[in-house]
Formats: sequence, C-alpha cells, structure tokens
Amino acid sequence: MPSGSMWRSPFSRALAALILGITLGWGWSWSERTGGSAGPPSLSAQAANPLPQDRDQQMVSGRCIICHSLEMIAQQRQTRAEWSVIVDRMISYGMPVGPGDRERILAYLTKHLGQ
Amino acid sequence: MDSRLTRRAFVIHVGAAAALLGRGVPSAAQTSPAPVPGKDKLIVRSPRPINLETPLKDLGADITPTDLFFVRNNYDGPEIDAGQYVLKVDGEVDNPLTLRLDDLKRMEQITQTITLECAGNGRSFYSPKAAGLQWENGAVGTGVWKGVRLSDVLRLARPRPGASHVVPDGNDAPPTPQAPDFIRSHPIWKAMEPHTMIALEMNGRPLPHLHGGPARLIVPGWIGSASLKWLVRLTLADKEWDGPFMQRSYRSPRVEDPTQSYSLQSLECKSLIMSPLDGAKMAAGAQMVQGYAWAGEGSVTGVDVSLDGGKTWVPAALSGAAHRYAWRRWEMPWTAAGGAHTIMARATDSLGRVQPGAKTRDPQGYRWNVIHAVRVDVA
Repeated sequence: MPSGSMWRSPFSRALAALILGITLGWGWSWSERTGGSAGPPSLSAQAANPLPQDRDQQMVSGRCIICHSLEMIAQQRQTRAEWSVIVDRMISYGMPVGPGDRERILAYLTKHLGQ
Repeated sequence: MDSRLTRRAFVIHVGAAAALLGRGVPSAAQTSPAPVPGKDKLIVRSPRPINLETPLKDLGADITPTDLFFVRNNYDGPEIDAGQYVLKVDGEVDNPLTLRLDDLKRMEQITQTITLECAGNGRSFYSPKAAGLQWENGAVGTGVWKGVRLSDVLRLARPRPGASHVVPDGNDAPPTPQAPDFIRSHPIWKAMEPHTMIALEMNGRPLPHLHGGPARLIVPGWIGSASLKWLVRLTLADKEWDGPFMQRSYRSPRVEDPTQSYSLQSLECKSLIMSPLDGAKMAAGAQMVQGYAWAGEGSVTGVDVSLDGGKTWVPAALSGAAHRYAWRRWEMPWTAAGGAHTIMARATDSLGRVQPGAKTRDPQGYRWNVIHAVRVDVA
C-alpha cells in the first residue's frame, strides 16, 4: 500500500522528527544516566536487548529498532561484505547515520555477528 | 482511509521504539521476547514485524489449529474493521470494481484444505548462514480456508487481453517512506487457476488479523509470500511487478546459469518427521514413525523411511485425506530395538522430484528441503 501520504504533511514530518529525536536523543541521555541497565523492573523482561554487549551496542540498537525488532539482527551471522550490503540497504531505507556511523555499525556487526 | 491507517501504524511502530529506548536499551541478553497473545506456544523469531514459528512437536495434525499456525510478516499491518473493508480491482480491466466484505460473501464460496509454507522455512540449516529469519522446521502449516475464487472476482472486472499479471497489494506499510511496499505479482494463469482464492475464513472462523483478515490471497502450492495478507487492491498489469520483493527477494539462482536468478513459485517436495522427535528416549518394541509430506505444485507419490541412517529405505504408508494442495500424512510401524538410531524420511512427488541428501548454497536461504533426520535412543 502506498505509504508516502503521511510524510507529506508538515505536521507528520514534525511529529516524526520529534519522535525520532526522543528515540535517539532522550533515549541516550536516559541510558547514560542509568549506565545502560534495565529500565523499570516491571518492563525489564520484555525490554532485554538481544544484541551482544559492547561499546556500540546501544548506538546500533537505536538505529535498527526504529523499524524492526533487534531479534531480527541477533539471529544473523554474516560476513563483512554481506553486512555491508544489508547496512547500505537500511541506510537507503532511511536509517539515520551520522559521519562515521556506517563504519562503526559495520564493525560491530562483523565482530559480533560475523561468519 | 489509507493515510489514517498508515499514520496509526507509524505511531505504533515508532511509539514502541520510543518506549523501549526511552528507558534505555537494557543489556541483559538471552531473554526470549514475550509470547504474542493468542499464539503463546509459538517461537518468537521477531516481535516486530511479528514472525512466529510452530514448534515441530505441535505440528503433527492434518489441520494446524489457528493458535499454533505460524506467522510470517514482512511488515505488520494495522487491524482492519470488517465493516470498513474495501477491495479495489483496477488496472487493465474494462470494469473496475470496489467490493466490500459483504459483496465477497455473497459470491460463491469454496472451502479448501491448503498447506502454506514460508519460502525461508529451514533457512537456519544452511551453512554458511543466509541472511533472513532463521526458521527451523515450523514455518509451515495446513489450514481450512473458505472464501471466493480469485478468478470469479477477476472475471467480474473483465480483464483486457493484455492483462498478463495480477499485482496484489495489502494494507501493510513499510516503516519509512523510502522502504519498498510489500508487493509481488502473479502471472494471470495462476491467478485464474480455480484453487487460487481470496480467503475470508480460516479453520471455520473469520480470518484473524494475524493471518491477513478480513481477506487474504491463498495461492496454493506456491511459497507463502504469494499468499498476500490484508488484501485491499488487485491491479491487472501487462508485466511482472518490478519492485524489490519481486526482483531481489524470493529468487534463487538458475541451475543452468547461476549468474541468473528466477522468481520462486512452487514449493519443493518435502517431508518432516513429526514423531518421534529428535533426541527422543523411546521404549523398545512397537513404535510408529509418522510425519507429513507436501510438494507444492506436485503431489506426494511416496515417502521412504530409513531406520539405519540412510543405508536402506522402506516405503511408508500414505494415510489420511489427499487434498490437491495440502500435506499428506505418512506413517510406518517400527519394531524398535535397543540402541541409538537415525531415522530419515524422503518424499517423492508426481513431478519426479525426490528430496535431496544435501543442497548447494542458496544465497537467500530459500526452500530448504534436505532429507529430515532425527536421532533417537531406544532403551
């Protein structure tokens, strides 16, 4: 089904930007305050991050979870070349990446979920 | 309607992300995601989009109960109120249609027992690993589907002579505007085949949302992705759909020229041993080896069973009903002697296909059908 319509209105774009901002910005500050540990106890079981722990775990998680569950990544085993194709496809689908992010994401995935 | 539902889907998706990230991404690994309500026994391969696998131990019945039936979504779709449901038929037709659910219910209804299997079922068994959901054996199930023939709906719209493909679209939407819509087309010959249907019921109940309700395609014998969920539009076209779910995904290399690929249609010839299960501890004496076999566009003509790891094979009995596009039960009595045994099952079909003992790499890990083996210990 065509999906572009909602993105055309300024309101929707503003809403999207706001939510994305909350997701990527506020999420980090919260996790930094708590040292990246589990959130409210009642929700911790559902919120467990299946991705391997590392310096870039949260950076990678935050980019991917905008569109899909982290379980979809954690079950993969791919070579660097294969991950490269996937990451570039996700960037083409709108995954937000700043300077250097692509290389960090690729390094994380290859190190922990390689084959 | 489109805009409203899409925005709602967006809020659900991004809201979930915000909710999770808002409390930080926790670090505790190895915790399984929570079960999906109504599907508590299924293995959660992904909670978003929802992808659920049936444990092999729960598959051993002619008809898979709805609460045990696997779920494979490329994107999640918002629920559609049955009273608001509309199906549009357009494109290369002389009589474009707008049909409501009641219009479909007033047409001649057919009821068919049909097996659905995800093209990626068994992907986890490929080595090296192929990208995609790592299904084991349980992205397969057999339902009783009631609804209308797709051909009856298409004839009402009076396709033009140039209409060679049907392009169905569902009410799901990608999570970003740049990601491609989930669309795959079908050649008109398969769309007009009298078993191809728009299902409105599953196992005697209105089609549940998780299975594509209120209305979905059932394209029998073909890989599961052909049976589009939440069907809201059928466009007749003069060529195959050119989007990535047709031209990149659901394709395998050609045998005669692996640099070329072809779009997957029929399922492979395949059987699974459903009893005993791998690792079972069994008592010596009278036992039954039992399972199901299916063959997409073919029909299962036999299943051979080996009790000695593939050295010798004995024909199993095909039992139960034989439906054109459903799996067939097979069974073989076995007098189990003490010790370790490797049991294998190998199906053969009417197209001359035999399950292989090994399979060359498929880049995207599709249509795994290597002979299923289980190891058991008899006390």
